Amino acid sequence: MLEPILQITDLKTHFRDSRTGADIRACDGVTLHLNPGEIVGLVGESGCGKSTLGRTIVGLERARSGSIMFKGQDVLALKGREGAATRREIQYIFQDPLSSLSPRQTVGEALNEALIINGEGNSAARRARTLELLEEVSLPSQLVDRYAREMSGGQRQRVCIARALAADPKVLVCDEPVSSLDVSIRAQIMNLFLKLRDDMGMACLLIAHDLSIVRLAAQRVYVMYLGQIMEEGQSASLYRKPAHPYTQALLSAVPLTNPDEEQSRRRILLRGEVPSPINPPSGCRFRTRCPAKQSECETMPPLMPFEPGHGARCHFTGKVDIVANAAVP
Amino acid sequence: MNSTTMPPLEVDDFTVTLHTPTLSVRPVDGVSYSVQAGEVLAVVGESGSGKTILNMAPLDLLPVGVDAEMKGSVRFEGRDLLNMSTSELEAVRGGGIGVVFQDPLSALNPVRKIGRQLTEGIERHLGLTPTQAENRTAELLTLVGLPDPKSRMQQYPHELSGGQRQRVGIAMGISGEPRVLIADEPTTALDVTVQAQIVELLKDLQKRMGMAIVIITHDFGVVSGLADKVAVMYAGRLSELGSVRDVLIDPAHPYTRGLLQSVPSLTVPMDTKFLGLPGQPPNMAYRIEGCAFAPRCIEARADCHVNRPSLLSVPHSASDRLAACPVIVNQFA
Repeated sequence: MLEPILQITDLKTHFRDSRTGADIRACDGVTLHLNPGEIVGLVGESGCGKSTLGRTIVGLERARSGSIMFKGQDVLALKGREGAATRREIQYIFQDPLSSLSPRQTVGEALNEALIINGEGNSAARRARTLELLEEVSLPSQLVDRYAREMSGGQRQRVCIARALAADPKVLVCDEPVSSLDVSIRAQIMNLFLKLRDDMGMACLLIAHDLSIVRLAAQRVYVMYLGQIMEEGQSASLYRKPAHPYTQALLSAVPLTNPDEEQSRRRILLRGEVPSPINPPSGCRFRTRCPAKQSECETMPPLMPFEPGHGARCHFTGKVDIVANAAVP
Repeated sequence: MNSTTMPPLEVDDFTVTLHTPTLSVRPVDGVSYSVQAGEVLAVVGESGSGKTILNMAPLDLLPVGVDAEMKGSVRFEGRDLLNMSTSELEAVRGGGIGVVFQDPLSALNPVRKIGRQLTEGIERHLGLTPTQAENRTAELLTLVGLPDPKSRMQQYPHELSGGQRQRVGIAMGISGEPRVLIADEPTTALDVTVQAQIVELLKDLQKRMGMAIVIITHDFGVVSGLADKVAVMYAGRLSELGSVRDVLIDPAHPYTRGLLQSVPSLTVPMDTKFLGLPGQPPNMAYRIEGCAFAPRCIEARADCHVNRPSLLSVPHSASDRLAACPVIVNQFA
């Protein structure tokens, strides 16, 4: 069995509501791992805590408890220069490349700075490495003197990825890396992640709300709802046979581009809104909106195995299919 | 032509030129289409394709200070919006033509209660008394799926979730009992489960009220679930116009094909590769010779870079369909 490059166990990140002082349980007991050379999807609707989880992994948010094991060390316990060096091997890609690049830096200056931070002292070596990085993200070397505003959205996101690669990372945490880009150029960036995985053995946590893109890019997927993982599994298994009613409802809501398929499919329309993470439902977090809820759901279900490597946090894993019971339009 | 057959909205050779002190750009360039009563037309395109300006400029809903020169005609029930006085246009906007915005929060006044914002327009456009207008508002909020309308009316926009705000936005859009509803990316800011609710709501309202809907979107999923016809825009021009089945199942224009390839549906095989389009949309500050899509097109011939293609009828389509690509139209023949 492959040793995970990143193992997150029972991670909690809570925020304090500034008005009431109440705990906002954004990420509330998440266990998740990444293997080397693997793209793992983390999906869920806005407010489910997926970005908080990603930001906690790279240290942009402070965890309340739990552990993040990377190369045999808990990165939450790392301190000082050595800790910073280890953390640099986990890099973060933001949704909006324009706001994560300095308007006053050329591409070359941005990459040069990243290489200095990573400890490359020789300026000739930095120049050579800068050109290599541009090539790794398939950008022409002439772009080295350009500013962010002089580039397209796709080019800017490539620069952000090149800057992350300057730190020789083992893990990329990518938070909605293509959702700010026009659809016709998203493929260029997704193919770049696939290339980094295949050529460099990069592990990527792909945080996204677009279930169709995650399906084609990720080997495994985690589905998050109200701060918890509701279902995890191999993409092939999870998308074919979603076991958790939330995943079933979520997938049934994704519109299909073929109008014949779209107009004849069964669909579950979830009622109401996601409850507040300040006061989440006791027991199963999804039970307030679940069409299949039973009295058992008042106790928190464990992650129940369904298929090999595929499980769901539902008492009725393998026994419930809310979409099959939905009416055909 | 009598009023039963006349399409409520007819756009004819419509062109918008925006002037700034230093340059002029043409975000909408010779667009023509019509929408029948009870029909949903989706205008699809990427950012910068002109799809929003196409629909907002005739209603004088461009940002303040934008100097837009409009040519051609945009006829609402036979009357050209471009020739209307400000007061005539005000009567149409919110009356015969309702508008739903992408971000309902920016369309609502943050410091005024929701009820008041709705009743105001209803009083004006339907000529009701304040009490009648209040009752009508409560009916509308129920119609768009907001329970307990009387207490909703006492709330401020920030007290609602994104989905609830869009429901209020739609209630506002239909409050004047419009014959045409223009919805600009009404689901873009919403999660898929909420998006599915809003699409269902629009379908239901359209059936009940029989209005024509123009939905501006970049999401083919929304198009396939909601629209009857689709107009694909690229660089301010129409590249393809036809029934949703024709265009989405068997796209003709190379741009439509590329765009559809770029959005892998949940039903494609698991080993499908990510395919997009090479290059970038053209810089609109320069005059575009020939086909605007030619620099990114795998089908392009030398001629495509020189002559601007006109919309040609695509043979063997299930219903009338036009595509601005002579190369492909010849292949269909």
